[in-house]
Amino acid sequence: MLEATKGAPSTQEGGQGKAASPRYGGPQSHDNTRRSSKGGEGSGYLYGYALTAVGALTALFFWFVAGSVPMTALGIGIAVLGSSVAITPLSPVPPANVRRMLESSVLNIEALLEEMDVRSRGYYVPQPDGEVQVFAPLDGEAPPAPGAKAEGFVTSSDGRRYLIIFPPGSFLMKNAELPADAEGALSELIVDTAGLADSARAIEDGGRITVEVSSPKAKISAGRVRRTVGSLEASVAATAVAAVMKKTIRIAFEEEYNAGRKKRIILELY
Amino acid sequence: MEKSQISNLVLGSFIFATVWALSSLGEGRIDVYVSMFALEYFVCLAVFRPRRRCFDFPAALLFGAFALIVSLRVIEILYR
Repeated sequence: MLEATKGAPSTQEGGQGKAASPRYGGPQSHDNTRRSSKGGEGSGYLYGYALTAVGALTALFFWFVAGSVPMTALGIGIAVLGSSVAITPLSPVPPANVRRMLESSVLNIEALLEEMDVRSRGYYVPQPDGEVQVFAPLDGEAPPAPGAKAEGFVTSSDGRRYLIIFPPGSFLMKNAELPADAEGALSELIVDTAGLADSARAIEDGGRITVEVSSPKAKISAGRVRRTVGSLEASVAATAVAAVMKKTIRIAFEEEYNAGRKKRIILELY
Repeated sequence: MEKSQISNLVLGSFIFATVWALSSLGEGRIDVYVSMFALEYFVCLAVFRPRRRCFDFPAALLFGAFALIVSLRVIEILYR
């Protein structure tokens, strides 16, 4: 059971993050965003490449010409450090800003839920294009049919109506290459990308996934959003799990304990 | 500061401290330095879990070098 530790987000640049680790490729974003950020980041990586080259040349010189082992080792060390810097992605958006953006997006959802008088817990349903949408029941509390597609503002499934909501974490999935396991995906989104908590871990038990979050940072006072979509941490966790496992998810329960320093979220799989 | 940047900072500190310490002790075997670099790299990787934008080839190279060094030592011992 892996535990992600506190960190700051990094932009998702595509490619594989960990060696020999299957990745889930999320829905693709527009190229404009990627193009505009590449120019600035290229100069950042140049330092890494330069450091690697300097280290390699230093090592070669002192090994073959000067015959000094410590200086050769220093050159190798500089090359190692330079290569590490070169493959580290840069992060233009601080996690605090991402968190504020998520919190402000909740206000729109609260107004929508109040207007439609939605009272039931929503279902996180993965769509064929990789996105995850929340199906908030307008008639009863039954889940939508497997493979239900979100069509329009209000969609029908098995004769029941559902309000379609874009969950706050849906934009985080854009152009995101997440680990293929649920815990890796949700901890990367909650901790690294959105900075919503210091750490997150998940335990799967049959048809339920228990997520434990340390030091949750988001504060939402919107009551209907908490009831239907869940807290920000729960919503992002449910979005990530639904996208990776390609199953309908519902936030069954969430509670804060240890004086608000920890949060437990229970997700049900359908 | 991001954890990836902290990881690189700590890695750099470890590397320079290692070179200084081992060279002060008069260590003349390059494999000792490389082994320590590999150890420090993987410790930083495990503790900080820095983000990577592509395949972690420094880790692969260091692991390969470390495996080679260990194999040569084992062969040296076996055939002494």
